[in-house]
Amino acid sequence: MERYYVLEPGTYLRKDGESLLVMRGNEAVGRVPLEGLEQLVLVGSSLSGAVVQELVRRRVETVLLSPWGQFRGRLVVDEHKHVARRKAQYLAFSDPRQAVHIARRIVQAKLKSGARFLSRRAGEYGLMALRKTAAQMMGLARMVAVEENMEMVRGLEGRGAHLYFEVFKDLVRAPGFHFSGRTKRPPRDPINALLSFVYTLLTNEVLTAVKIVGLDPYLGTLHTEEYGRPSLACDLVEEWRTHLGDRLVLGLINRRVVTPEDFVERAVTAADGVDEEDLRAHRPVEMKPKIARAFVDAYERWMGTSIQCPFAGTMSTYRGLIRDQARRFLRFLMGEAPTYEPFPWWTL
Amino acid sequence: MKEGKSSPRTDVHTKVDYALVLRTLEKHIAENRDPESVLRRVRRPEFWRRLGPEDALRCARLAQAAGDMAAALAVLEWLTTEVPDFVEAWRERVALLEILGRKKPPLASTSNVSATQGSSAEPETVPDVPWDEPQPVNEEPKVTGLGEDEDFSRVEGPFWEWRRREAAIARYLELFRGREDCFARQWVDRAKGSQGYVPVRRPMEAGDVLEHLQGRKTYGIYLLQQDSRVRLGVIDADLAMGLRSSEALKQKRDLVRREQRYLLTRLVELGRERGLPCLVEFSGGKGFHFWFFLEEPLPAGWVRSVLQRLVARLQPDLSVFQLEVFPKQDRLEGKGLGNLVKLPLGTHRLTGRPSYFVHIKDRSMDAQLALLEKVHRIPRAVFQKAGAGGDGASVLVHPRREKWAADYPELAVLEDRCAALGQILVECRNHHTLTVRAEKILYGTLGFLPRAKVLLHHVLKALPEYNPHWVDFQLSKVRGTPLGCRKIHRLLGLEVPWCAFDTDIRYAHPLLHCPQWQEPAGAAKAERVENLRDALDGLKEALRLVERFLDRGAPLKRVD
Repeated sequence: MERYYVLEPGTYLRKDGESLLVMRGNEAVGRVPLEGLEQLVLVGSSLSGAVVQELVRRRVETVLLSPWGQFRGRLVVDEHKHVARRKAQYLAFSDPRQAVHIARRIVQAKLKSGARFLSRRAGEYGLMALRKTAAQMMGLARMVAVEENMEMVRGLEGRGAHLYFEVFKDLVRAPGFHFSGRTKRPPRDPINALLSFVYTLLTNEVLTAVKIVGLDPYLGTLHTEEYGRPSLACDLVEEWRTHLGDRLVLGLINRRVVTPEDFVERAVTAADGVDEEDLRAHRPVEMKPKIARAFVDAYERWMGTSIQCPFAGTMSTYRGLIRDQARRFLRFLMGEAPTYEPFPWWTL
Repeated sequence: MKEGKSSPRTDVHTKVDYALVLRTLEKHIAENRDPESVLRRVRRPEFWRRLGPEDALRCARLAQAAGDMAAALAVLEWLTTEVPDFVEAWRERVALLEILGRKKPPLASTSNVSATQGSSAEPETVPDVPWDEPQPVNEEPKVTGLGEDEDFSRVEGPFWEWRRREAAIARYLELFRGREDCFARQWVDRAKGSQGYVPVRRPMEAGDVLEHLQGRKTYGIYLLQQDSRVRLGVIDADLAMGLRSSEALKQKRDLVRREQRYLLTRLVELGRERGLPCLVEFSGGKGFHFWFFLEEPLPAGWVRSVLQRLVARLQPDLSVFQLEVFPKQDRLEGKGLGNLVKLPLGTHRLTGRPSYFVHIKDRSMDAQLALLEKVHRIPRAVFQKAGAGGDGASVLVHPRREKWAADYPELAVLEDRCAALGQILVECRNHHTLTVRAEKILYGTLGFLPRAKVLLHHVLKALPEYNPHWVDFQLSKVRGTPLGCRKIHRLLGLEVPWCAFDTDIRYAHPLLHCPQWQEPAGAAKAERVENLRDALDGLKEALRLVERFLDRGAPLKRVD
């Protein structure tokens, strides 16, 4: 799959024969070949009408992210297939028992994999605080496993996330980085900026997988319906956050691959939020453009990491696992599997 | 406790609905509301001992989720003791112990529970026992950081590549430094085929270098700083004007190539011998740039004079390349910015060809930039000596070359003093196939020296098609007198003046440079006559061959 990331905020795309030119003012700063292009991710970049037409004609999935990596939109081509699958999805999600069952599985998997991650790190660092939080998260996971109320499931998930990010600072072993809690929209420190960015990329990854199997990414269960939010992708990404997102970010930080000097931090001033320009100017923290490019490259390599799938026993990549899990979720919705089995990170 | 596993119990005296209490506590946990109230409850054995096994298990989970592991373990321990066949309780107890890194329950909590079992006067609580820090020795050895990710180095790659590129750009900026407050951008008018530079009046930055390296813009630097000193000097070698068209170049392609290789080898060697290492770059346009980097800024006049001597030494040997030294001025005068030189590794805007350093085969940008790490800068002392009127620093010959010169003094002298033979010998050293004419010149000159066989075998064995028998055969055919300068220059197409000899001679040939050479008695008086005699010998040989071909059966006749 040919995917391109355009990480040049303030640029626009122009069609030029069999490729797209990335333009800054009147100057071309990059070129994206259209041949074989399947996904285009634009971070703070815009497109002209001719480019939109060409992307639609070629059925190129185009994702629009804000300059700080927040999901803004997606150029989708009208889906005419898989009606039965969507119907199964709508039916399952309209049934409160089914909906809570799915949400429960997802949250339980998230809590267990988070606990497993903290427990392993506790062994490496000899930190009791991590062990204690891991045990708490396991307790929450056990509570969720028998929970029948959706609001409680959501509450326990939130409590788990809160506990997890309370000790997240102990996982950061590189000097110069500080983490005082999860902040988003906008992230307020480099670690949060990296987390937000990688979560957005992962959500995008899951969204693509969901679309490939023909499900509606905008109807979820754990995440309520919200205009423009791909709730199902937000649901299914939960099982990947810790082991694919946090592990990547912490790995890059703890191995001193990313340093605090790779970020521009500003004194936080209130942004009017009137337009994109104003928000950009008031961003508390920003990755330097070149490091953002390296980060995306690293992410691409990370997603290509080989791993043995515990279900099939075959070798796959992280990206392949996400696609496999989307298919597994579909089989459950179609009644071909008794339940949805999230990826068992805690057993690896 | 022997009750069934289900059905929450309701205390008959207080009418407490324990299921409701547990549900409330669970809500407190989910909403993160008043966690202390949860802990107060779950720490009291008289509370959880009244629960059925399922609810006691819920209570243990509540304690665990609320963060009191001692209380959770106490409940689980009590459950597994009281209801030993309650598998789920065992499972959760073991899992909790494992996650806490302990293999057995803490004594404090168990003793506390058993000690308080008989008393019901006071509310019993399980104290929040501080856990011992588990010993990492019990854990599998792991690498700090991401021990489980063996191939994380692959993921780090883009960052190191980027940092290496950043460092290389910083090095580039540090080496190619000219005037501090401005640099120049190349423009081109393709319609008219013209190009030039416009000043950019600000200091050059890393972003500009990147643009230049990516070929998006092409920049040059003004060599003279505002104090008329320079940090580098350049010898610009341009192809002669008459050879810049492709048609003209086609006719003299061999000559240009041979002379180019000679230039690239000899100028670097001459510089190195004088303590002036340089970096050679194909400019993307008409020729080559030889960059000489200085340790500190020096007066432009010093640098010019030293480089000028190198040029003076080599220019007479070149017929198709013109050498020019930059900076051209000794000091800045008026409002001018001085001469500029295009920076290396960019794209020449007029020709569209990329520039690259020639002494490295890998043309990738990373490899080319990596070369800059190895650049040696020339110390002030070299130029100081030159400024005092000497010929630069004392000549420091490379030990290998010194040994070569000692073993083959004839070759060393000829390469140094005869441009034509110098070019051919450089070709041999560079393992390039010789043309028939170049081979003829070698045999026609070296073949007359007393150590002809040794010398020719030494020179020719570097060639890919070296055949010792063929060399001996060719050598056996050498007759007459050495080839003269006129003939050699004509064979090679050289358009440089002949060498000047001390004595007044009528027949000039390269061997006169050799101190070992003794002119034989009755030596040739003029090149043309001797060549005619040689030609006559050749003609006789040719006729003999033709006769042999025409009359195979007939006995051979002498053609005298």
